[in-house]
Amino acid sequence: MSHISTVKTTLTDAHYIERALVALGYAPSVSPGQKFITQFGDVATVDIAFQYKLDKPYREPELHFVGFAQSETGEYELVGDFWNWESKKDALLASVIQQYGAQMAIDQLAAMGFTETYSEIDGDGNLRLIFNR
Amino acid sequence: MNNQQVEIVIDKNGKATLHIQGIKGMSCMDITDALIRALGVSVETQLTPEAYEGDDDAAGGIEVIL
Repeated sequence: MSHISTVKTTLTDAHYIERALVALGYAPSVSPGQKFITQFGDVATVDIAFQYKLDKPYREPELHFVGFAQSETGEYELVGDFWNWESKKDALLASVIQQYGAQMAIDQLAAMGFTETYSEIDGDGNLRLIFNR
Repeated sequence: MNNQQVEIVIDKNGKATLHIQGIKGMSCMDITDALIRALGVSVETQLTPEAYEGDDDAAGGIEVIL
């Protein structure tokens, strides 16, 4: 039985998914149709792949391959084996969605002469960005 | 020119709130429109009183819930 799960998102631009992952400290590999093998030996096919470091108490962190694959309707889906880290998967996806919007906003505002002057994650997990010109 | 500032807060669901200060009138709307197009989401716009004023450099702006 395959452990691979897919999670729908509204993300449609691979460039900004890549930018979001880089901003979060990941090293994404962008190559349509690339494959990776999950912790239980399943083969997943994605367009953007990266390794997620899952911290474990009193043990070495686990490295999990995960990725994004474009669906037939154009949106990207998060693909991976999330067994035993479902909640952290949700947090990972939330951070990618936040950074995806932030990277788009950075480009749009830079074109209008604005510079990012402040960035923080507040106590509620919101990403707050300030731009000035 | 006064300091012109754009603040964007993006929550964990990707919902963005936009607050623009120091920019009045159509310039403010141009920035708002560009960000809405970029973020590609539906929008509920609430104009602050200053947004209806003419273009100058005084403080003012617009609040947008993306």
